[in-house]
Amino acid sequence: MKYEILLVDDEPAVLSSLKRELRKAPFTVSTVNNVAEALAYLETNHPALVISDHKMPERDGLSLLCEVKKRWPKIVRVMLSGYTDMGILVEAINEAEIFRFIAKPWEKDVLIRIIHEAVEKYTLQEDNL
Amino acid sequence: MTSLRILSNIALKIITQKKGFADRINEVLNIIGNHLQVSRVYIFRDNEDGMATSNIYEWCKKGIDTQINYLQNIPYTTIPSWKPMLEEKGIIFSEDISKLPEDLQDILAPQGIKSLLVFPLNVEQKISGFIGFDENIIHRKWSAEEKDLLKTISGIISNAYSLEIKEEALRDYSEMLEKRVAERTKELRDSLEKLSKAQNKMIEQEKLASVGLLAAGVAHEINNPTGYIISNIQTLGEYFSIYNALMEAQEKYDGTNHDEVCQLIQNIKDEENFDEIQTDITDLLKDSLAGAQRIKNIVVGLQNFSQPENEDYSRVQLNQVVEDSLYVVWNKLKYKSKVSRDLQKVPDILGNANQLEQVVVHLLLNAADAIHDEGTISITLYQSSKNIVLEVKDSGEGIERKYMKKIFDPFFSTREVDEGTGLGLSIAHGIIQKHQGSIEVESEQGKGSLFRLIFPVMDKETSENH
Repeated sequence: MKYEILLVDDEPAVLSSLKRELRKAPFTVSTVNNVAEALAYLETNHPALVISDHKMPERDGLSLLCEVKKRWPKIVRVMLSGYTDMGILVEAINEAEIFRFIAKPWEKDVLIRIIHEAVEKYTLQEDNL
Repeated sequence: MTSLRILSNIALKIITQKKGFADRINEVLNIIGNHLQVSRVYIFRDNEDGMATSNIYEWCKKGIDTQINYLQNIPYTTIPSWKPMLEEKGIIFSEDISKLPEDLQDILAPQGIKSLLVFPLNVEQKISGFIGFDENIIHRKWSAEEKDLLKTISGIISNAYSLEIKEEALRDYSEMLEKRVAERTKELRDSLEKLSKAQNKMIEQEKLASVGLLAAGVAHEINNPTGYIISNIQTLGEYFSIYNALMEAQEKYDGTNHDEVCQLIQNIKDEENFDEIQTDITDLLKDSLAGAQRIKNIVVGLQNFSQPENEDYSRVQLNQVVEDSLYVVWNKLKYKSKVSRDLQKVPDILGNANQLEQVVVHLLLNAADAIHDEGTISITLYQSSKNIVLEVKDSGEGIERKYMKKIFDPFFSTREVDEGTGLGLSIAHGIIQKHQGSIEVESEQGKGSLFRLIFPVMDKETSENH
């Protein structure tokens, strides 16, 4: 069974480049442009991992990850952002309980490794049921 | 000389202010002494607390010893009878001092005084000294006329003395005031300097803070394109390897193994999802190039944003600026909207025409972008008392209330990410500020927006210098 990853970023070029990097990965990659679309997607789909940017118009990534934790706590949460405000980071760790934070510009190896670890965490959760 | 004559002489002497007070008094004492042929004439002044008295002026007949140096700071406690007598009777007179109280005899006898006549010196209705006349040679009977004359003279001298004391006090006071003013002025100057320094520091800190904010904003804005450019180039490398593999496979053809080679090539294509790669390369290149342009624009925008060293300001005709700006953007505007203009002749302002054109162009482009199907853009230029006003109005989508405060923030943008850097309005704002002007915005969602630039008219001096 292929696990699914959901990518959330307001810049389409970022999503395209991430998708290219995950071209040969053993996961399905879905992309959305904003928080509203992400939440709508999660109502009917079940990805193992959500990777979200923080600074987006309308609603920010931190609030998305907080809501994901609340509503679908099993989904592993990762923040991928160029915005490195300490306050945001602390809240991301403590409130949204993110699994990892990746700073932009990201390194492909680091990204792939973290995705694997995140999916592994997700499967362990499932097994513990 | 008659008493009247003497009195008028003395009065004149005292009134005539040409000489200093001491000189005048000494001359007066000289006149009296000679006229009356007394041994000594003197004036005593009490100390501030009234507890002691000192001899301040003295005239001695030839042959009579001076006493002034010994008669300093004499406590009234040593001559307790003195003051009460002056206060009660207004006079101390004695033909023979041996008839006076003992305490007085003790001080007078050693001076060789045989008879004396003393009147109080009144300053502001208070006795603050006395004027006296000694007779050392004989026991003198003071005539009524002499008493009257000397009493009157004492009165004149008292007055003159009161005046002198008041003038002295005035001089001291004015000196003190001057000193205080000088001190205060220095204090004020110091405060001003401190304030000025503090203000400069605050401006520096504000600059640093905004540089900090800008740096943070820039870093964030540049991180995104940097991220996907690097990623895409890496991916391109992978794609390149695939193309290489295909080339190598093709080169394996030796004339006989056609099917094998085709199979090899097909395998590679299947494994790598080659059809997708072919279209993806086009997208990849497009994205990356756009990203690099974006970074370039941000840097250019930043260069505009920072304070340039040389500001070449000269007379600017805003009418011309508007015309030039319209010329630049005409192609973009003409399809989207009807452009109307109402440009009145306005006086020149002092500024940089290029920068102002940059601002007007930006406003016009924003206006065009706000219009989606069809609409109007209107430009007005007019003078309103001491200001010149330039308005760019559009009938576009308007600005949401919640964004109104933010539109001049650097990097703030309501548009798609690859449409502009978000620096345009904040740069425009900076330019207008440097021109001593201001920008106002009015907007209603769904109806349109109006941007108003206000410039001060050049004052006469500036106008003459340029």
